[in-house]
Amino acid sequence: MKIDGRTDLLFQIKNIIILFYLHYLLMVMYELGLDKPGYTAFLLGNEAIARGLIEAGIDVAAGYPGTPSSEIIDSLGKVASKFNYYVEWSTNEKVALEIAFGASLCGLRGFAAMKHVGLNVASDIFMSIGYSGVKGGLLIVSADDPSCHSSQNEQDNRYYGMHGYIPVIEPASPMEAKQSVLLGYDISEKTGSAILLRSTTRLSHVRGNVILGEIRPNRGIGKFMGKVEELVMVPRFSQKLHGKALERLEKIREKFEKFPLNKMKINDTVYGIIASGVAYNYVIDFLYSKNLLDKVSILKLSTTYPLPLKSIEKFIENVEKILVVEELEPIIENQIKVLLFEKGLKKEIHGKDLVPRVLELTPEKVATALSNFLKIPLPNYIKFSEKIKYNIPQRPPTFCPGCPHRATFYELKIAVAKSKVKPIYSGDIGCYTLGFNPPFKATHSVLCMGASIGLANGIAHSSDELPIALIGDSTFYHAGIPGLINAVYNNARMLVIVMDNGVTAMTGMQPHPGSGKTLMGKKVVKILPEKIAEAIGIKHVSVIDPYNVKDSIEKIMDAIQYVMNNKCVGFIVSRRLCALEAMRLVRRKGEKIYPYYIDQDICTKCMICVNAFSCPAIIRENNLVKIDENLCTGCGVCVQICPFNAIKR
Amino acid sequence: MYSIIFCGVGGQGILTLGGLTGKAFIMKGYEVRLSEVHGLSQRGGSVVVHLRAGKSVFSPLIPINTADAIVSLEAVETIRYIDYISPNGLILMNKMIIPPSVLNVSLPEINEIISSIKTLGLKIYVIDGLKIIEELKESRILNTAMLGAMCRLKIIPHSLNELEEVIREYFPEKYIDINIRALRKGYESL
Repeated sequence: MKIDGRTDLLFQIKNIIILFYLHYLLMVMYELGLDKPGYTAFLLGNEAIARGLIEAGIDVAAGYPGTPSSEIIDSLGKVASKFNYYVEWSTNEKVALEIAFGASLCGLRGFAAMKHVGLNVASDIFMSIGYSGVKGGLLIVSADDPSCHSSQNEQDNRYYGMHGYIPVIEPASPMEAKQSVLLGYDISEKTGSAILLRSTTRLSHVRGNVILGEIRPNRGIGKFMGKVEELVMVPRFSQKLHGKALERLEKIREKFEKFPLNKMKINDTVYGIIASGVAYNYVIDFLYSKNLLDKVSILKLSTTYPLPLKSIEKFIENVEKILVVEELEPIIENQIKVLLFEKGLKKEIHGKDLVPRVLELTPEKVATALSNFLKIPLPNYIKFSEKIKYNIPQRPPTFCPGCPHRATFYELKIAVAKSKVKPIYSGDIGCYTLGFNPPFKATHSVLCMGASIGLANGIAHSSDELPIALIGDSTFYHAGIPGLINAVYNNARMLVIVMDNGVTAMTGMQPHPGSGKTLMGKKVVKILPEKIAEAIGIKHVSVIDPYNVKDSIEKIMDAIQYVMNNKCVGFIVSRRLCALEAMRLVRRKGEKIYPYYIDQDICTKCMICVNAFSCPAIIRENNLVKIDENLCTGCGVCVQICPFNAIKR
Repeated sequence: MYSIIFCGVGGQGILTLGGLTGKAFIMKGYEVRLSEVHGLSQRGGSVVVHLRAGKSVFSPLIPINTADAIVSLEAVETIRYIDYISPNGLILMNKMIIPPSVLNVSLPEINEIISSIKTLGLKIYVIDGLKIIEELKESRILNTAMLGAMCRLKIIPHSLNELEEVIREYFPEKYIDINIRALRKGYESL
């Protein structure tokens, strides 16, 4: 088909991206930092959490970016100059939580934010905090990702609260998220326990009315007040602390009996519904739409661990049949089943037999579960889409025009072919994960942060394969370095390629130790991966610019040869700033972009640029291959791969 | 209760349009939930935003068959989210197809999309976003033009004046004038 005005259209799309960022930034800065109690702001769940922190007078905040949690620390960074707190992007979640805990031990309010899988990384210190308790308030946000919208799994981190004896609060709306932060710090300081605030995608990324409150001043300079018997985890101390942690939980349980965001409504009926977090919203909306709000009793739980058992017992006594509606795992359901058993109560209880355990909940799934529970007719939907005769194509995410990762993958594939090797590509978490897609298909595994190098160690010791570990810059600092040191120490043959685009790109261009600046805008020395590699004794270290195709292919071939001959670690840094970030800088400076075009007299339509490189700026139109000048960033990589020199400026 | 689905392709300004509409409801005293899409899906992917506004709102997601309107900035995406529309709802669509970046896909023609929606018995209004862009010689106003059209079709309960006020509050100084002109153009285009 012919598409009229496509060029204009793409021009417009590209520009809107920039405008969007601008608007978003201005709005967040404007409303987030307002000292106007009573004003109704329109905040994202994550911004509401940030606002809660500001109102709570946060002293020290740290995190590592990860969807859906990134906007909390991003937002704190944007308005940092207006307030007196310290905020940073840390190298990983474990370090971030240790920083927040350090602040707490100095009597200050500490905060750490991470995505659900980030808490796996931070779990070691998390478990110890469960034993030690805290001094100044300590709040940890885990942003879970049911349905794995942007994650490797959909783990339910409420289990971590149970695992580490750290209470869990689950807000249902942006306003409640802000309130939970304030209530959380209060309980944290009164009971000496850290608090885990569990968000999910449909809270973190939902915008809603948030009424601003007063901003509490922060505490200024703290003083270390930790006690040896609470912080030195040797047996004689930690054995006692285990018991103390359990006692602390009972105190918190008492507090949770009166937690203002827990709500109970008892009606004269046999049916009782217990719901938590975002799931509660779907329950209420369905009951409202069916005019059933008075036909059931409802218990809304915002504190899912430890449960307020007295309130629950009172609720259960008033009903005969119970349905627990919660997202992912049966955390509340199982605790209530234990309660029923212990109290010898004979009630019909449902949960994961009616409410799906896999994927995030939707209004439709909850409607079906409630209909089955209440024995009313199932909802009947009209599926318009089933009557559509043509197919709708998917829009999978791709490398952006000018993306240096695309060039690196292209060069790697050529170098591998010329070297006549068949490597195992051990991939990692970031934009470059997309290298598993055609045309490159150069990623065999993407498991967790840093696993590219760790897994390559195991493959090297178990087979004759050539492992090539592909890892981003931010991921390298986060969890790649220990695996790399291990590979050198235990002599595992592998080629490591650090795909260094200068920022944590996938989550929104956050700075990292190689960026040369901190979140609060301070200029710092760049910590370079190649210097680390040299320092730990890697003999073959090279740095390539992926925009220089011939040189990059040669250097990758050299490194492959070195690894094959010497059976040890070879190390390459492929360095070029993220194209989105580079384009943003170019515009900020008011510089021009010089796009390329394809000389149609020379182009033979060999399709190498389309099929082997696949840049979105190279398009096919009316049987011709063209460059969309409005999408082209002028990186010049396609010029070098065209065998007929048909691409010109 | 107002339930509106906004959809299109990542980068078209769908979050801004949703945010702008949500802010307009807040300024009128409504409670609002706006469910956004961030992260991986923003890289040229399909984007859908759910907006619900009313006296009190709970669910951030609109149930299937209950949206009062689908406001679509790209035609193919209208079809992807068509199940959300209520049988009495209306569709406001920008007359534009953006091909996906994947190789070798077949796409429906714009007229095929429009007629297939009509065949389903749904009300559809089409706006020529490119024409408005050309007339105003400014490519970044598609979303405010759509807002004007939404006002005309009474998808939202706001007057043009109220929306202008939102734009004044929401946009940086130098973009206010052009966006108000786009708002009016969008309003007049239907």
